Amino acid sequence: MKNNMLSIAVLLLLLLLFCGCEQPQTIVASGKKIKIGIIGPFSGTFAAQGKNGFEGMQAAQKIQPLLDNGTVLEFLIEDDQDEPSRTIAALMKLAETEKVAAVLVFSDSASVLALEAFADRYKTPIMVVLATHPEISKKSKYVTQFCIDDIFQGSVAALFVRDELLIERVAIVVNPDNPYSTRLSTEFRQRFEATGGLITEIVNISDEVDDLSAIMENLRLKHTQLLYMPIKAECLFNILKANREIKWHPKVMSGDGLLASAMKMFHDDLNMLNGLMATEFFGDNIADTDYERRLRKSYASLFSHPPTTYSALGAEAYALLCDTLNRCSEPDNRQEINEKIRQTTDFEGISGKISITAEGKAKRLLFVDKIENGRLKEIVKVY
Amino acid sequence: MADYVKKAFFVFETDSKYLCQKLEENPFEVEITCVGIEQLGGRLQVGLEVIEHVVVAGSVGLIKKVLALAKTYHFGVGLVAMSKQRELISCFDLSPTLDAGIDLALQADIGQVLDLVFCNDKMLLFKATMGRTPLLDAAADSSRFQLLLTAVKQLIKIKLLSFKFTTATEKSVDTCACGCMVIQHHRGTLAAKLVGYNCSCVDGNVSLLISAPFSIYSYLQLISKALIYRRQAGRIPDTVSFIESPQITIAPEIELDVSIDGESATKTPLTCRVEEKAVSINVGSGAREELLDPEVVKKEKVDIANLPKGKEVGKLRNKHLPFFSIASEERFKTLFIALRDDAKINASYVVLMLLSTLLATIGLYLNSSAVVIGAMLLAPLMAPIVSLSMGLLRGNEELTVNSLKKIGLGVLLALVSSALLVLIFSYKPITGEMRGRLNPSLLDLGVAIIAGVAAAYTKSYKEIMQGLAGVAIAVALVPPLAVAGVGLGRGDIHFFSQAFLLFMTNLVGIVLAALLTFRVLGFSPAVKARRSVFIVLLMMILITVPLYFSYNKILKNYQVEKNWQIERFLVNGKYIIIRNIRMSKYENHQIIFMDILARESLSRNDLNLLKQKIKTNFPGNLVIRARIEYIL
Repeated sequence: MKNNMLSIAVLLLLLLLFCGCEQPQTIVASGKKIKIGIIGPFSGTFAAQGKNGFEGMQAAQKIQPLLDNGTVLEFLIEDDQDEPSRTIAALMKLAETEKVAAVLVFSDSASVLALEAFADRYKTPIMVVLATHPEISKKSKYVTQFCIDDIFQGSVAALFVRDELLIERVAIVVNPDNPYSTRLSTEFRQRFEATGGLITEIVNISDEVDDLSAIMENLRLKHTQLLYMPIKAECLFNILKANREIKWHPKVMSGDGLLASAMKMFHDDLNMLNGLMATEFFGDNIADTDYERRLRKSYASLFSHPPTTYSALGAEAYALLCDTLNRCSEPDNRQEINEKIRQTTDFEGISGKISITAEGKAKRLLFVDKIENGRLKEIVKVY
Repeated sequence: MADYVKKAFFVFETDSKYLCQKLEENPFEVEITCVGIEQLGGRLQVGLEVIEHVVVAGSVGLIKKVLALAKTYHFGVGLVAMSKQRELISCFDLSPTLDAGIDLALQADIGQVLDLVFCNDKMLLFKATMGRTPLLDAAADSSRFQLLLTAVKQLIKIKLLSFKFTTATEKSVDTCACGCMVIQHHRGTLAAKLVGYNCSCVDGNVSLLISAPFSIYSYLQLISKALIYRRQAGRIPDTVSFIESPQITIAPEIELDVSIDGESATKTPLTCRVEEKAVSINVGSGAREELLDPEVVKKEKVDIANLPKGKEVGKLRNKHLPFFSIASEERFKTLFIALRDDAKINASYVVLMLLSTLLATIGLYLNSSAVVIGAMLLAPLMAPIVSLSMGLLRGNEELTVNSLKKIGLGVLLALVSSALLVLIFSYKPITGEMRGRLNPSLLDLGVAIIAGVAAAYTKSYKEIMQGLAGVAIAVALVPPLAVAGVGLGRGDIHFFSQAFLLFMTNLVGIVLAALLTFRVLGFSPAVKARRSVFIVLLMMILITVPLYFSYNKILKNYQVEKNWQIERFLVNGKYIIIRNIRMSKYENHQIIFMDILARESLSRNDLNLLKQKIKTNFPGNLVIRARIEYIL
């Protein structure tokens, strides 16, 4: 009797275990391929954007190699060197010659804005992975912006500085030739002034400026407490060096992707960025999600260097594209893909949920991070 | 400037013969006559009148022969140590270099008059051991790793034997031990460190260390003490006892080999006697200072409080070490009587129970921690719970039943009195003090277990009884009962069940922890009432289930509260800072309380959008309660 009871108990336990262990569904490769075009700078000064972004996609593809129907995504890469004319040419080639189902763009706002004028002609869904200019997606129903735009970023930066750092006097350093820089600066200034803050000066800095020390000394004399500098990493490093020379250490804030670019270009001087704040799409100390852990593992198995913001955005873009294609009845139908992209709701990204509005704008988390020893330590997380 | 003897014999053996020439050519103008040991007796008898000093170099056996002659003929002895004789050098503080050694050996007027110890008429120079004396004979400069290794090796072989020790005053001790060690000169051994001085050769006594670890637990204690205090003198561990007497007879139940100065020399029974001031030896200045130590008291000393006596000897003899020690009969008797009294219902218990419950209930209504703590101190519930533990451990039905009756009565009194008080009062708020007792979790079980250990421990040692007050405050038995009574008075079954669950958590936790503590402290060789203990254990497992879920809830809330430290929202361009998140649950709703900090005024539309963002990004059926503060 005792033995029988024991056997029944063991059987029940095994049954429970069997029921509890849900077997993951295995997807078998169907042999079908869907071509996906990738445009971005893979050479030149901003090559990190394209290279890191694509590395992220590769890491994500290692985790999820197939769509639910067994189809594999084939990538066709076009290097535009972040020049608008090349970006347009690349789109034409991918859409007309290669007949890709969708295009992912890792170029900057200027290139994307130029490309957008031609997007409707090719009727190909375009996911803009990195560019954040608010005008993106406004001129074409085929262009979707994957990042939060500069209006959100600039507002968050200004309000964070004003309400959390309680800073009253800020100088803005802007590159007038760069739409990303000008737009963020404008948004920041408007928001900051609206909350009673004072912009001590707006400094226009193009790529080559001789006397940065004198400019910074002038800002210091105006009792500037913080420098808001949504500019390229190279220029920002020069300003930090000038500040060091005149022994001035104001708080500094910048925009997204700064650390990612700096890691490639100024790897040995990264400690200069310690303490610098930036609006970002990720943080290094966010609560680990299972997807993030798997992605990090996959990335480490493929590459020897750590992932950057560009890599994370690339990986997320790949995962969202797979999710979109899985929702399509015809995964190679451009029209349907475009519609489904813009119907994305609460997609689980690396650090939180991502939704895409019908207007092709992303709704997602934004972080204000502090850079410490080459890592992004999050200060606040803005929904 | 030192004085030197005029004439001296140098006694050598084959290994030390080469020193003859060196001594003969000494720079102190001492006339040296080299003699072999075999010639010494005859030469001395001839030169009895003139020879006052003998220098000896060689084995311990040779030295002992010279010392025996010195006792008879009253000449002074100088020792020249060979470089390998580290024990000799250390014990007599001799110089390791030959020239300095000869210098010391030939000096006049520095001879130290020392006792000689004879065990079964064999001279003892350093130490005699029999049985197993774990760690005692280890060198004090052994590394911690060496000590540990030796200790673990010996652990396997240790067995307690019956011993009878008789002192010079005919004081007799029948006990159990695994071995003992007679010590004379023992500088540099762990035993020396434990006893606190290096030489027992001027006190007119034989010094005996008795090693008696009664359990693996106490043996481990000995190891840890040896490892920690190996460089500190004067710390005799509980497992080692100490006798000093001019004569000690050691008689184990079985015949044991006795090793004297490292050589198997005789067998038990062993009689060790001291011959006071028998010889004069030139020793180093360090040893001379120690021997002048005024603290050396020449009287019999018997420190055997930790040795088993009476019936305990029978329980331990010829057995390998049990894991836990067995408490002494006397300690057990004292404790058992106290616990039996604690289990009896008396008027003071009823009065104190009522008073503490009423005090606790009023304190809860007043939301006054101070009053509630006062009630905790007044509460007499801890005593019968500890008695119940002992009753279950020893399988003592009378103690168990009495304790249960007393606890039952206490619970009943507390529930009824607090419920009645609620019915009488018209003012019935639910205060923070009450709410704090409505969510028991695994942490409360942890508190109960630790408090149970502390309760049993303090109860076992009279000298730390004052610790019980702290235990009573930590575990707080009456306030949960009072809250449960309030629940009964309010007719709120959830209120009652949660508070009563907390009380049961405390009760079961304390009973089990106290039971195990008594077991570890050796108050029972085994858990006797296994069935009853199994029931208590089952109760604990059953209680653990809701406690686990409750704990999980606390963890989740903590995680949410922690995550919300950096959460911000941008709603219609308005930056919203969230602060002071608190989580609470009402039926199926998760209520989140928060403070919102904003610069611009928030419209209903803004708040709806905020709510939507929160609901999108955070799981669960959240109900938001917010307080808005504006940045001006």
